Amino acid sequence: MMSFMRFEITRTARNVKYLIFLIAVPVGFYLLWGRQSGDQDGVQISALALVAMAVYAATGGALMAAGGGVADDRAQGWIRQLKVTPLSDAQWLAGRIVLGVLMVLPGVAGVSLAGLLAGHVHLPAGRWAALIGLLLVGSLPFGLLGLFLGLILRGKTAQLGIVVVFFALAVLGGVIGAGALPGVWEKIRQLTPSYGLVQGGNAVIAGHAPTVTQAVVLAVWTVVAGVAVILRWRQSSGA
Amino acid sequence: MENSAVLFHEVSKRFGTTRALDHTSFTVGRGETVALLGHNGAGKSTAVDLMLGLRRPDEGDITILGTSPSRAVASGRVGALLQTGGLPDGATIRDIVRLACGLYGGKRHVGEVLELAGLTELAGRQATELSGGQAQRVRFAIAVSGRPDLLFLDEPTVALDVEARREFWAVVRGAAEGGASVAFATHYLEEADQFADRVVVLSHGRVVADATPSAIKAMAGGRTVRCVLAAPDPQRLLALPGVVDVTIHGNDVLLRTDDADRTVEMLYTSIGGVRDLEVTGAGLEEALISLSSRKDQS
Repeated sequence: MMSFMRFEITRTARNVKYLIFLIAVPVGFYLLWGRQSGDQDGVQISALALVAMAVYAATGGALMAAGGGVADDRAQGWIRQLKVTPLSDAQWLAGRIVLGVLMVLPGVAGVSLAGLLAGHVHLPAGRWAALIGLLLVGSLPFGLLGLFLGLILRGKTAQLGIVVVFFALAVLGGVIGAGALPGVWEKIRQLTPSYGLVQGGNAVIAGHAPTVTQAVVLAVWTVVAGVAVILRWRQSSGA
Repeated sequence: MENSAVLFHEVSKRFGTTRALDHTSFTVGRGETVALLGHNGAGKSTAVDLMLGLRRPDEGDITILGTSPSRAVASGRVGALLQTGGLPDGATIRDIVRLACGLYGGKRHVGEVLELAGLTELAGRQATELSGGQAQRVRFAIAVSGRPDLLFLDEPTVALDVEARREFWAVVRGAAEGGASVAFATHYLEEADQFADRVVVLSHGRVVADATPSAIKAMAGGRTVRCVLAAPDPQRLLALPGVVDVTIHGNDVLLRTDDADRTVEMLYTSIGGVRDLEVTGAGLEEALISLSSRKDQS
């Protein structure tokens, strides 16, 4: 299991395209638009922007690290090869999910650093730690979702599918873009995990706990995506 | 039970309406190298998948190293080179071998495995940059990194040229010296002959022969004798000792024989006028046709 994690982390770290998407893009966005001074409801705008970009980095990282490459691994027979080693199915699944959650860290660290240095965000250490903790836990449904997409889609479609889902969730959840959405979409966004995570993050930096609704939305997405992954895995590996 | 590496007993497996395996039975003894020989679609790969627990049999029992296939694989005592197994993108050969060594619990060192598979100089390359033979050696490296008691090789040399094939088998021999049992699927009779202690011939999912390589070749009308005769007489040629089949084109004669020495001797003494004599081993094609038709008639 440890050797599998080490292998996958090395492999991910070598993927330059992926690292750019994961770190450079949210940091770049933050530097372009996030460094505004002023407050909104007593919270620095630059801190709110930090939450949004950290969520971007976290959800993108989890989706791609857990799911990206799984489709290629399946197509090339690598997963089949792993199945005849002592690595169990459960370990493989757990490894992918842990990888997804771990790969949240580089992007979040990059955005946090940008917020600290360029955005002059002032947060007590406790809130900062709570935010990072929330992002790690809250990226779990995204990791599972990415893994599910990697298991059902093939080749380039899988990469594309993950990117499409990522941006859809980012726009719906208010990670990208500001203001309310038109009509019924404003209601729908409340049910997305990305919205839950952004709002939860905003609450944390303001010194509150995330609301029950936010926690429930994230938990339901986690369970649903988790069950979908397990069902799909059983189906594809059955005799 | 433990004295057999593989017990494959009355196993059947269907895919839709196709019977991939039909009450198939064979064994692989401890330390034995057994070839599963047959055409594409004979059931070899299905048998390998079943022995590795990748699929479940519809009927029958499979015991691997005294336990179930999936337990044997999980215990790390089995190594496998799959026909459809692949290598990942974005990783070097060293990364892949290090992973394999780790998964098998560090029974061999990375450097040792690289050396064993002849990959030391390629260790820094990406898997996607390798030739077919090199990639196959990486798959082999994964299979032996746990010092397995039982090694499965599914058509290990199918895409390789003659040179790469010879190199590959030299590496396998080196690795199997520790007393491991080896089961390999192939459709090259020559390969089965050279590397196996015993050959199990599969045809349409059934075992049509299970014997030593030389016995298999003999059963199949082991040798072909070609010559030119002034006036070939099929009846007299068929009556020669060892001859099982006669083909005549004009003056060209082709004899299949179980006992080439005596056939040739009698060809000279009782028929005479023999020109351009040539004795060769029979190919798999002939062997399989002969074995399959024998079994089908019975």
